[in-house]
Amino acid sequence: MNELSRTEAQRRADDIRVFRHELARLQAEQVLTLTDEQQRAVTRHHEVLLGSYTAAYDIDRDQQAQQLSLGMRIASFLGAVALAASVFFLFSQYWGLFPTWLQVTLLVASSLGTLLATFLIGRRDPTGYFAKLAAMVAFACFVLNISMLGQMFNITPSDKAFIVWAALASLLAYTFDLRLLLAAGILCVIAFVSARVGTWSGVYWIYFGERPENFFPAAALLFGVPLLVSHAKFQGFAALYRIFALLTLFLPMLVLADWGWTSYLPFSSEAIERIYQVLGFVVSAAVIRLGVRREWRDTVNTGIVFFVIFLYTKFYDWWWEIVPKFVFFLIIGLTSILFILVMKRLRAAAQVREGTR
Amino acid sequence: MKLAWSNARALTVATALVAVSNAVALGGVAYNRSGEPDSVLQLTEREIPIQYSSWPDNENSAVHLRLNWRVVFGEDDTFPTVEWLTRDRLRQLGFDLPAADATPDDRLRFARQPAREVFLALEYDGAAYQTMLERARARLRTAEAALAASGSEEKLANVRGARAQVESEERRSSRLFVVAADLDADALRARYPDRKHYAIVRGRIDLWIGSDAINPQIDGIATETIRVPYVYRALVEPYARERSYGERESRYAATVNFGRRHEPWIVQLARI
Repeated sequence: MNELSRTEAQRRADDIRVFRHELARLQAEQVLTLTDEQQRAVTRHHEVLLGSYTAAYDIDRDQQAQQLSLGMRIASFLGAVALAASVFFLFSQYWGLFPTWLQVTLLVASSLGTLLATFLIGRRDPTGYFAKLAAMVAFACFVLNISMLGQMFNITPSDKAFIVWAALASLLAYTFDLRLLLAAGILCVIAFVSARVGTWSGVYWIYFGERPENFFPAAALLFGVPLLVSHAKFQGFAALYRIFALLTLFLPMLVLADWGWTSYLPFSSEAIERIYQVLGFVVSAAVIRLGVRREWRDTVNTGIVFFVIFLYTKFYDWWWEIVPKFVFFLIIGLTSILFILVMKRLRAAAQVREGTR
Repeated sequence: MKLAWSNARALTVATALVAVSNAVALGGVAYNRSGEPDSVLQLTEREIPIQYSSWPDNENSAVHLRLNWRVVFGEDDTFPTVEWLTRDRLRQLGFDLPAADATPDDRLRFARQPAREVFLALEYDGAAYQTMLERARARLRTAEAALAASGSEEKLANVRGARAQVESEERRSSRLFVVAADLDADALRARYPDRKHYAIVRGRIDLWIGSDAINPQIDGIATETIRVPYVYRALVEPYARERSYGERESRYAATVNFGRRHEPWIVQLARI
């Protein structure tokens, strides 16, 4: 079964539901009237489509089914976390009682066994919930496998572990359409790339977070992935890359805008803080503009959140101590209104553009 | 570019990834332990006490020992300083240091440099330990002389404290000291060729600010815990269950090898 086309089938089913609602409205308002034969043909066609999708992919045919699916997704996530924790504590409690060769065998077997089980379940589970749960457990087993080998043989901790964890998490995420594992993989990539960049200046890898600029190459890399590789068949994946890229860019900038001494730049702390305060505004505004142009809602929203954070941080620095509190909050409120007006104009401009296409 | 994906191919790649990752990790272990060890130290519980774990690892049935290293600090300083980590040495290790006339803000900024990875020389039962032992004895002699001159309660308490310190140094404190740091392991080995008393390990050095001056400190050793092999687990497991912290007289001794990658492992362990 091709798991990737389940997303497309669900999207088509959602479109059909919306179409039926709108058709009912148009007929009630007597804007459009279908003959009985046309009505029957459309209904039959849709029923055939929905029936085939349900049989093949177990899609959600209505809103109630969608809500229940959300419940199943949450249960699947909690189940995966609990099972992963169970595996960890099971190993922890008993593995000291086994000879070394058996410990190694158990660790490798748990990784390979859960991986195989995931793919077997994936073939028999059209809903994907059990396969997703198994995939997360397989990833947890692999993380446990590598980290416990390190403990067993007193191996020097290395950032290279992140790259193999990222590889497996991404592979499972793409295979089973699992955004949670993609997020785990992205976090591993961020840790690996930032640690590598940190070590170039001689810093011990585990302290890569102490120089926030170490995160910038990872941000650029993540932002470039959905631009270079089409993710049309993976719902939400491109957005996830962009959101993590922007978080990896803006959070370090926010830190540098307040604690300039953490920077690599050879300037005074005050100068560095000013540079990053200005960059924070400029880059978040540019990101909003890019998001509007490319119609990336995730990018626009993330840009707005950080633009507002940078703005309010500055307001706090400038005025919290020197103006009465009611004036401070009045400024915040008025700024929000101004912001809404600007966004409204942007939206109107976008709608005009859409209309002229 | 478009992603082409099939479950069969994904399973093959995932299996290969798991297999190769394990092979690389285990190959590294084999490489570390191949040939003549880089150093072989005969340590006791004083230097390798039991490592107690907190949640979530407190149910761990494996037993780990901790390399209990120390540093000889400057005797007269209010703030402990590692005397052999001079400004020149720190610069050689890659640290940026402020000029003598730097402002307090600048000094703070330099002191906040993240830890740097270096090789450290661990000395077992050598000159550093003798220095600390002699210092404790000298303090006892001074305290006893002061007590003989004027027998106050305070002086008596000083003597008792100094005597306890000498006893601790003689019977319980670790004799394992970090004595040198370098970016080159071979250079460090050339300075300390005795492989039965000096081990070269990976570690970290960082800076902190005290009394308005920048001071270096040993941030840690990369492989600070050593797992007790299954065959010796029964010997130390009862001690692990005690969860008694603090220094104590040794109840076991172990031969610890350090390999080509400077990673340690226990080759022999016995109760004393």
